[in-house]
Amino acid sequence: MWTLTLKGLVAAKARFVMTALAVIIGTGFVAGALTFGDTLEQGFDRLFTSIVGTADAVVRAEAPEDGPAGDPFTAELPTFPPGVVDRLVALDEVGVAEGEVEGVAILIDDDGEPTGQFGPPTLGYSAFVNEDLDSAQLRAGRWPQAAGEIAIDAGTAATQGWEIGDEVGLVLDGPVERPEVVGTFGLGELDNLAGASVVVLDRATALDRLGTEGELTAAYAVAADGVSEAELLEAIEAELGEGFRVQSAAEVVAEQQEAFGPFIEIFSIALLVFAVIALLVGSFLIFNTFTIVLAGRLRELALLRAVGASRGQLFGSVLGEAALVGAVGGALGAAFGILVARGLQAILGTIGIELPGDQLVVLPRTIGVAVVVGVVITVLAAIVPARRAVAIPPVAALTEVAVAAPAGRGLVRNLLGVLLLAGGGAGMAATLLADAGAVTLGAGAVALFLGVAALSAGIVRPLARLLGGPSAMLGVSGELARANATRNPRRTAATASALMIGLALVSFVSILAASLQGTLRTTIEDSFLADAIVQAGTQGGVPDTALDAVSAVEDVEVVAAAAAGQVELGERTFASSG
Amino acid sequence: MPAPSHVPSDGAVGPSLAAETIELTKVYGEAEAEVRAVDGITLAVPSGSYTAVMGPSGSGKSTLLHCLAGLDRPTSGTVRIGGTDLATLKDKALTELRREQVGFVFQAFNLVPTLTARENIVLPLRLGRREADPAWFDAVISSLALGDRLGHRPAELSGGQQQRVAVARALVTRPQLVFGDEPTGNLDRSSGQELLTLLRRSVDELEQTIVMVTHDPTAAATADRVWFLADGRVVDELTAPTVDGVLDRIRALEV
Repeated sequence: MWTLTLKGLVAAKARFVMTALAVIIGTGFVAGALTFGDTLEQGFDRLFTSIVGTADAVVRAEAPEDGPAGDPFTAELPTFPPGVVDRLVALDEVGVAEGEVEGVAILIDDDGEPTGQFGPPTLGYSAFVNEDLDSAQLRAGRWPQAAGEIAIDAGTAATQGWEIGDEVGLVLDGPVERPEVVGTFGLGELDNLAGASVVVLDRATALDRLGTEGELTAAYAVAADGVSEAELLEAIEAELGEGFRVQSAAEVVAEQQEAFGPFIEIFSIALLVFAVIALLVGSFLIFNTFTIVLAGRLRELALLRAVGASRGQLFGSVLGEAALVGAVGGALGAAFGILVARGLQAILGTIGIELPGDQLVVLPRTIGVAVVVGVVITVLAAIVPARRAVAIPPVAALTEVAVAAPAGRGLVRNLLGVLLLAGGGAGMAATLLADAGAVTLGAGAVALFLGVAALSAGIVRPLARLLGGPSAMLGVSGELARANATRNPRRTAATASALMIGLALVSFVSILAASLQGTLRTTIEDSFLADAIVQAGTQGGVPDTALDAVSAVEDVEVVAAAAAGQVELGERTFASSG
Repeated sequence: MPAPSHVPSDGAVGPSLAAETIELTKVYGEAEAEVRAVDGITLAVPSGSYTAVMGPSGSGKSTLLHCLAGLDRPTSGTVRIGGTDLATLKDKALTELRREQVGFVFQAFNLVPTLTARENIVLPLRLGRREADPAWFDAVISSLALGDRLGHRPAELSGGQQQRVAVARALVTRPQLVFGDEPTGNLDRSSGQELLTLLRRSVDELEQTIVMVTHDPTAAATADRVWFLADGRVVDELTAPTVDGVLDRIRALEV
C-alpha cells in the first residue's frame, strides 16, 4: 500500500503541488513567526552583550523607590556626581574606570522633522576617554572633543544621507542647533539600535546639557590585572556603600534581557496569531484540494477496493499521502518561513524600525514545529475527504461513469453546523456585549466560520434557486447555470468556500486596518478639546515665546500650554496632561 | 451437469460448485422508479467451467456479475462463493474474499496507472500481505507472454497487453473463480482473439473457473455454455455453443 501511496504521489505531481502549496503557506507563517522571534531575541542578546563592552563592573545610582519603571529606553535614569569615578580609579582592584552621561538628544532631519517616524528612542551619550571601555566602535571620523561637534550612529547617518563634516539639526535642552558631525559609530556589528538614533557629545557638553545637571548616569570599570570580577565588585561596593547598584556585566545583560522579554513576546504572539489564521485558511484549502483530488481518483480507488483493498487500507493510504504531503510541505514551509521573516524585517525596516539580528536565526525547533504542524494539519484536513472517498462502492470501478460516493443526508453535518453557528454567535455576542475577552472572541469567530462552512452545502440549493432567478430569465444558458449550481450542492459549496475564505481574509485585513485607524483617531479626539494644536517639531517642547505668539492671533480665544503623552519640557519627565 | 472434483471446497454446498445464486434479486430505486435489475435468478457455476453471460443492454447481466462477485450487495436472495454465503460477511471479510477467492478482468481501467505491470499483477497479494508463489507467478507470466513487459507502466502497454496483465492479476491468487466484464470490449479483433484463447487455456490448463459477460458472439462461443438474460431473468441456456448457435438465440430473443 505504501508503494502505491509513494508512486501515486510521484506520478501525480499536480495533485501533490496543489495540496503542498496550501501546507507551505500555512506552515510558512508559523515558521516565519518563530524565526522572526528567535532572531529578535538573539539580536537583542548580542546587542546587550555589546553594550556592556569590555567592562567587568557597571555602577549606577540606586533608583528612588517610587521612580518610573518600565520602558528601559526612556525611563529616567538616577544620577551620581562625577567624583564617584575618581573614587573608583583610586581603588587598587580597578584597572580603568570611566563615567558616562545618558540623556535625550533629538536629531532633526533636513526637512526640519525629528528622525524616526514612530518615535523610537533618541539617545545622547557622553564620549568616552578610554575608547577600550566604550561599547560603541568608531566607524569613520573621530569622537567629538568640543561643543559644536557630535558623532552619530552609522545607521542614522546612512538613513539621512549625512556624512562627516555635515552640519545637522539637533535638539538638546533648547531650540534647534546645528553641530558638525565629526564621526560615525556602530554598536558591535550593528549600525543602528532598533531604529533609535544615538548622538555622542563631547564630555563637557554632555554633562551640561543632557539633563543630568552635571552628574553621571553610569560608570564602567575594568578589573586590574590579577583581580577577579567578584573581588572587583566587592571592592567597589565597599567603597561606594549605600545608594549604588554595582553589577557584573552578566548581570546587566540579564537585566536587559528581562526588560525586553515582554516586548519580544508580544511581537511573537502577534505573529503567531497571524500564523494560526494562516493555518486555518490553509487547512480549508487542504480540505478542498483533497476533496477535488480524491474526486478525480474515485475510479482508481474503486478498482483497488474491487481487487481487495479494505476500506482501512485505502483510508490509511490517503492519510499516508496526506502525512507525506504535510511533511514535505512543512519542510518547504520552514524555508518559506525564512522568506517571511526576511519580509517582516524588510517591512519593519521601511517604516523605520530596524531591529537587531542581521543573520536570521533558524533553530532546529522551528523546522521541527513546521513539519509537525504540517503533518498534523494536513492529516486532520484530509480525514473527512478520505472517509468520503473510501465509502466508494467497488462496483464504481466497473461502470463507465464514475459513481459518486454515496452522499449522506448531511443531518450530522447540518446539526454540527447549527451548533457551531450558535456557539460561535454566542461567543462573539458575549465578547461584544459583556467583554468576555479576546480568546472567546477568536474561538467564536472560528466556530462561526466553520458553522457557515458546514451549513453551506445545505443552503446552496435554495440560495442558488433564489439568486439564479434573474439568470434563468436570460435563456437556456442562464437556466443551465442555475441547474448546475443546484445539482451538486456540495460541489458548489466547496467551490464557493474558496471564495468565502478569500473574501473573509480581505475583509479581515481591511477591518483590522480601519479599526486601528479608528482607535487612533478616537484616542486623539478624546485627548484634545482644542480646535487647533501647536506642537513643537520634536520632543523638545514649545518655547514660551510661541505661546505668546499664538495668543496674539485674533481668532484664538483660549490658549493652554499642555504636555500630552510623552512630551519633553526641558527635563525628562512623563506627563499625561498639564 | 459436469462436476469436476479437482477444486476443493469447504462449504456446505457440494464440492463441485465454485459459486451459486438462489433467488437472487437486485432492485434499484424506490416505488414508481423501481427497477428490478436482477429478478430472482437461481444458478450454479461448477468448478472448472467457463460460462458466458449474454443479453441486451439493461437485461441485468452486469448487475448479476457484480452481485455474484461480491462487488455489490443483493436486495434479496443468496450468493455463495466456494460455499460461503456472502450475506454473512461484513465489509472486511467480503473484501478479503474478493482478494483471495475472486479475480476480475474489466473492460477498461483494469490497472493502477502509477504501478508497473509486475506491481499491478501482485497487487492483490500485496494488499493481503502475501508473497507470490514464484513457480505459479512464472507459470502465469509465461503462459500470458508478459515476461518482457513486467517493468512497464500501463500507459506504455498496448490495449491487448494491458488486458493480459489484468488476466495475470486475476489468476495470480489462484481464485475460486475469475469474472470478466466485457474483457475484449476495447480490443481489436486479433488482440481480442488472443485474450479469448488465453482465457480458454486458463480453464483447460490451469483448471480455472470463469464467468464472463460479453456482447460478442465470438467470445461467447469460446465458453462451455452461454446464459441468455432478459429483464433480469435467465431466459435461455446453450451448452457447447458455436458462433452461429449464439447468433440464432440472440435473434430469437430480440424478436
